[in-house]
Amino acid sequence: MKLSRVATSCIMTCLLAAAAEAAPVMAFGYLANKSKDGNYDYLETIFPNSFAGSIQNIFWVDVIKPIRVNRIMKKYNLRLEKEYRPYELVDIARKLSADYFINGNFIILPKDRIRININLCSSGGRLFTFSNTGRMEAEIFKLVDRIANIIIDFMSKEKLFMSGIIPGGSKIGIFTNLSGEDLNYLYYSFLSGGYRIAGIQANSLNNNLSTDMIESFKYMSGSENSYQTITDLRSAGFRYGTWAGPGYITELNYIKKIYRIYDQNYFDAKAAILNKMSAAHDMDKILVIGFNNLKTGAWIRCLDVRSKDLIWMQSDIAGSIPEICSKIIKRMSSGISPRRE
Amino acid sequence: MLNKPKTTLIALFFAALTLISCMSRSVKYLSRPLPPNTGVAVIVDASNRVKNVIMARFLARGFAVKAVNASDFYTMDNVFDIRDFKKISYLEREHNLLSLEKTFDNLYKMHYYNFEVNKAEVLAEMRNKWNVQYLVLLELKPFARTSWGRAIDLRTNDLIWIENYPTSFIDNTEKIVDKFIDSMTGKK
Repeated sequence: MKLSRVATSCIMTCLLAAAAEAAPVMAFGYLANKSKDGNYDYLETIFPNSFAGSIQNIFWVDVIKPIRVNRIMKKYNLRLEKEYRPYELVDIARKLSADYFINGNFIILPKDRIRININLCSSGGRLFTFSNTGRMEAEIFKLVDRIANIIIDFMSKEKLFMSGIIPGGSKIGIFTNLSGEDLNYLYYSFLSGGYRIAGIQANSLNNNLSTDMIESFKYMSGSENSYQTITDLRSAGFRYGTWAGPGYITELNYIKKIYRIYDQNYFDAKAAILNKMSAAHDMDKILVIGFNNLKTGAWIRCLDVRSKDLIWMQSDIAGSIPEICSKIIKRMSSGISPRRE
Repeated sequence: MLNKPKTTLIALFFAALTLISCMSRSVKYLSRPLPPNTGVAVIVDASNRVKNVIMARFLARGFAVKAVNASDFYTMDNVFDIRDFKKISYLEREHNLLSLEKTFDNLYKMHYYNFEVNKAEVLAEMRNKWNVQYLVLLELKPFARTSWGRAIDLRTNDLIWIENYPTSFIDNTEKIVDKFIDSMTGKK
């Protein structure tokens, strides 16, 4: 009796452990050929298969390659398309029972170069998009490895992405939820690290950014690299009919306009205000550093003000304020160290 | 009853502890000193009596102090209030939470960027109309807490001086302000 109880509890523990430690599932779609040259169509399947292979070699993950994705889609009377709208990606990830669905496209550039654009969609409705350019033929495998490494870094606990270092002497505008002496310490770290600090936020006695409101800055759209929430305006429910009076229609139009500016065309709206900010402060980067309530952990987003691109994101930076500052400065100036394989 | 050597030892121990804690909280950075006789706006959140004491110290050191109060700058809540948008949207729409959250967040971010641009425009106006070259912000704290200050060059909008100073039990308003003025002018 006692033994059977022990055995049952052991089995339960193993099952729970297995469930808790299940490998993330990544499904791959096609990388559509956008170069109008059919000779490169073969890469549409080769690229995703290569990414899947490279990632599986390094990272503990279950991958579903395009051929198997197509088989699963057939069960839903669908087939794997070359391109999807962002709001369709979430539905596909859920149909495939995958944690992530990855697809994208590529274009052949002059001088034997190729540019690859990747969409990495989580089943929770977040979309990470990024681009990478490399040389065809000789360096194509390096490019595949580079993209696989970006995906692996993003899948890590730190959700890390960095497109390059931020050189010393750059002028940085910082948005953070620290204030007073803590904010001064943060500035001190950057100034003594060789960076210039733009007087945004620093020109106020009190910080208006609360811990919950700084979360709004976690998602950023950029010209090439973005990390965003996927939205579907079809579900917004803008209903009207013969019962709707002119007042209702006017209100509805205003609300539609708000969604159009601040959701669909947000990147353009933001670019205009960033230009004004850049002109006023002559800064190179905007760094958003969000601290938790206890100031024992932080996350980072960095936007290049001139190229309007997301160039760095990182989560789960733990430590005291000085330790976090020191880790940030070190990463800014050194970038991501190459992975040892 | 403690004997004299023991009391001295305990006093020394606490003095050392205070010194270590003060050193760890104290930071200072000066990229270029504020020149004498320059136009400064000093922003401090204190009673008028304390503000007068602080301004008098700056005037005594030769600065052309411009009359600017923290309340002269509007806060974000005075200018933008988008809370109603979220409330109305939640009441009137269904099944659009992600769109709603994203729109609200983006609206908030745009307001924040706009707020910073507005502040920069006000500061540029101060510099051009009233010849304010530097913006100095101070917060003076009582004993065992940290007083802090920072200065911004309004020509470039660069942060040029910062200091965190743990207030000791012998400090008063004049002493802290004098210390900060020495620090930002590069005297100490």
